[in-house]
Amino acid sequence: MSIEGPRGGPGPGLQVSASERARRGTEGADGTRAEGREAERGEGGPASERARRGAGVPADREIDRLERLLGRLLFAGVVTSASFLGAGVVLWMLGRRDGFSAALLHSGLILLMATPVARVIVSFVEYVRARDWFFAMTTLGVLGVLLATVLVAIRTALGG
Amino acid sequence: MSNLVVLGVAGMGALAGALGATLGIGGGVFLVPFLRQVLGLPAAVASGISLTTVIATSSVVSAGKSGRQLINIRLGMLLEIATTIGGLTGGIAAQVLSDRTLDLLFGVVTALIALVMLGRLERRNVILDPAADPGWLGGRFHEEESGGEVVYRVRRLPIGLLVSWVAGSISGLLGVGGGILKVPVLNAWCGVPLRAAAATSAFMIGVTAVSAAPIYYAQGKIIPPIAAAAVLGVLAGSRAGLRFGETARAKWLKLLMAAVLLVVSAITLARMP
Repeated sequence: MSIEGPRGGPGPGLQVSASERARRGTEGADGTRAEGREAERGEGGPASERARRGAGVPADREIDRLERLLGRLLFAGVVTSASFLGAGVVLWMLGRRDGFSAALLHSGLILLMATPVARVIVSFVEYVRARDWFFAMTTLGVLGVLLATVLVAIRTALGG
Repeated sequence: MSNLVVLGVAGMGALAGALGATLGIGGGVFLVPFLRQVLGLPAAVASGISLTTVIATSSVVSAGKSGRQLINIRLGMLLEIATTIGGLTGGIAAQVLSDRTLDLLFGVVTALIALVMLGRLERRNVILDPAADPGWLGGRFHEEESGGEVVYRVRRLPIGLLVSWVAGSISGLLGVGGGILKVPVLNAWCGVPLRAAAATSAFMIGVTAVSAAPIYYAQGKIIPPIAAAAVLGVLAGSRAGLRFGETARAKWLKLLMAAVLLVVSAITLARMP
């Protein structure tokens, strides 16, 4: 990874375009400093900056955003599935061991298993939006393996 | 199956969740031996139920740690490719292996990890210069106990991927989170500080567990009321453990982890069918 950038400046007698300098500048530097330079120049949004960088490091603020979004999603998924499981197991313990408590329990379990999958899907969408293709492909790969798991599960369930 | 068993599982789940969240390894490594040794459930049933609690622990711990930059999402995503492939194959294998084989594997794995932890107690692979370059996969976070900014660079990524694949396979096979393998290796060989390694691992184990859990579920290995009790207990416990984990010192965390794992291993091997 190149750490050459505005600190070093272009070589003697070498004319480097503004966008080329911006691209090089953000490579290998940390997000905070990259953002600072961006603000100084006042040109190009973070999205276009990231588009040029490809698999580069997203700004700290972007990581924060994704982290908070995933955190909320995971929390919502867990609270919902725990409510189903809680209601189901209480009914079951009170002696109502019928289709209703079973449906609650199974819904809770399926929701629980779906939450991390939803997390990967959201990450994929976010990386595509950020045009961070390396990590978009990474999350897509994870989704592919999870799809294979579900297919194996369905096949074994049908096969007995 | 009696209400007492369900309540017992909930209680043990709470304890396992608290320990698992504190150590960043999920409650599975404590819950599996309880379900297997105390309740006498088949190994694959214990694993399947444990996997559901691993998912719950992962979700709740990651949600609690989000916004503090402890979780290295990019590193986690990359390693998840390896953990899920392992989880899928492990989940398939667990359906055909005998209880004896699964118990033997569980005992050996937990002992191995405990020894690795004990051997590397004093290691702290962190760069304390806040201006250092974390690289494309590294990270930075504010460490409360030292009050400083910790910056780290991820080294030896292939080792990280390899151990993630092994951890995923073991997770799918034995129903544990797999953090028991990833956390020490990410810390000792890949340069990720223990706190960040634990948070990233906690973030990953949910997806890893989901790469195996549906296979157990389809096989009827996840008994719904027991799984529900375990999940609810673990959820309550990990909230408490998360709080403790933030104040406990890293060295004590490692010592506690190693001691508990050695005990778990000894019991499992001694009681092998």
